[in-house]
Amino acid sequence: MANVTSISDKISRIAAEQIEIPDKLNAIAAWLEKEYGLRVNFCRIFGKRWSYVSGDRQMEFALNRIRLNQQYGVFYVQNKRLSEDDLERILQALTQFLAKNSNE
Amino acid sequence: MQSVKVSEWTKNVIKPDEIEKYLINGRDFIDEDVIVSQLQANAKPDKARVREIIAKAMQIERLEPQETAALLNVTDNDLWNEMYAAGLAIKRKVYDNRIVFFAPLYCSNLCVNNCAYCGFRYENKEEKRRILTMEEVRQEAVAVINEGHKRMIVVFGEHPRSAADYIGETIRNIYDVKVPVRTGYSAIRRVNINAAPMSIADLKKLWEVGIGTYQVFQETYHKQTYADLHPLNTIKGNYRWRLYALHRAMEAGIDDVAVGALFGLYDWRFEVMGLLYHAIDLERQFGVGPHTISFPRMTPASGSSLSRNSNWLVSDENFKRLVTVLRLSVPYTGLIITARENAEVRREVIGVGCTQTDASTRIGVGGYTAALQALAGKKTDEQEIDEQQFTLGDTRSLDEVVRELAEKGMITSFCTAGYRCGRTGDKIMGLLKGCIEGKFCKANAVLTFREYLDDYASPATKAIGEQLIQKEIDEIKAMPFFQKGRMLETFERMYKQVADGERDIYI
Repeated sequence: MANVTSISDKISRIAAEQIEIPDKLNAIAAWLEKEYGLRVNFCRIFGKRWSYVSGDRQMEFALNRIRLNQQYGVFYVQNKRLSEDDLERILQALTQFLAKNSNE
Repeated sequence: MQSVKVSEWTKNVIKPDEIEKYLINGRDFIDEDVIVSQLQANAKPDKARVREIIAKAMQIERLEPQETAALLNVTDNDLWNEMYAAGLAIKRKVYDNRIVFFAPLYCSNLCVNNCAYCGFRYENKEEKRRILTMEEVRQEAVAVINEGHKRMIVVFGEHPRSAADYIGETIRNIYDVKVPVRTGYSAIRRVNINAAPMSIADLKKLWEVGIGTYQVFQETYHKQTYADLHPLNTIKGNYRWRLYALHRAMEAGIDDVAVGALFGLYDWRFEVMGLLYHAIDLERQFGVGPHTISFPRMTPASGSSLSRNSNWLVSDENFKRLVTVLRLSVPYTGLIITARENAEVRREVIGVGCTQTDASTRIGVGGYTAALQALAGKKTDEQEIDEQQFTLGDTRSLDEVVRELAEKGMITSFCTAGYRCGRTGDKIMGLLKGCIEGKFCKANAVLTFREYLDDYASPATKAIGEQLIQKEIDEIKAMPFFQKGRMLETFERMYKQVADGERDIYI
């Protein structure tokens, strides 16, 4: 498994091909599923509301959610291919990406 | 001074460009000639066709206007009975066996409009005017939470003092209220809003503080009736500003919106068609239909003779029929029956597919706190008609209504999970149409009913509730959906957490 920095770099490259944040997140979600089998969807957070923005639209039952920053959160389906450490690195990379790309 | 400010404010509310952008070839989506001709063309539908339409609805497909028109014209009682049964079957397919409860909270009856049927209208001198302070809002929220509620619809008259900033502040304050229960605390988890149409900029303010659903009722879709009842020199006199209120909400990011009509102002069949066209236009322009549909029926309001004497008042039988046709026409959408209706009518229409209702309802401004004062002997606990928008038909407590439903085998749900899990807008619509959301509904109903039984239920309600919750759990265990992955294991773990005293656990 790559380290946080290399995952961040890859995410940034994938996202750079898109202009709008929802499209960037969609591209990242597709890559995470292809590369790691990790299904995610991203939400904008408004108060208590987590509103779907991008990612796996077919994902029905995601028990895991993490707030990535004040504006965005992610739901994901835990995946046997990924260790807890690997998952943690991906979530860190997503947090770093949003820190640079959202308006927080 | 105040009147100058109000008139200045009133002049600037409507943004014409925020109407025109949604028109198609300069026309809105209510074409009265088309609706009338569809109702006439389908005046005598044959049984086979009606059954085909019912079968389509059972597939959770939204009906086309011609099909709805046919259903509205059914006269055969046997066919109506088939439609009633189909309504309930659709509801169970999409939303399972639960009824979601909410509490309305009236924050202000100040209003710049003058609608002939409404107790809030500015010319009604009998109405005692009041707007809650934030401290009073919090007191009301505490009273509502202490009944066991987790979801509110907060209602505001249209007035500069209760405009978007006030509404946003209200939402924030309600979400902040926490009341200790057992080992945790209880709170309102979803604040829905019923308020006047707003600009996109104002709607964004509500979006940012975490609004649940934004609800605007068109009242009547019939343009001449609308013009007769809503004076042109008022904001509400602008039919199209109201008609596109929810389009603007969608554009502001609020993807859970709710339509409604006040039945009794015009022909009920026409209004059902109007609601359907509203749903269709939201689907066409945003890919998402309404989250809920409401169908309040006109009841007596202070200082309004129209509310008692309208030529279009809807009988109980026709009311049940219109709810049924809405259930079949927009199968994926929630239907709300409120305590405006008496207990008997509520039982009837819940039986044809309603998904949400209220109880322990107070609709006076400050009504919940006043009820507590009545309990303490400081006031009488009667409906304050001169502080209300209308009168209630059912003033039973939440506990009583929950118990009655439990006796009929229906589980009360206080679920607010969907909008906190990204299941909103087109995402939740897809899950509803695919009959997936109902599985979440079932699980979350059990989790929140467990909370209610442990924190608020009377001994009698708890006794019947325990039997019901066990039956629901047994059904969940038997459902193939929950056999996937670790879903059942997760649900059982969550249920144990809640039974052990943890709160606000949801899927």
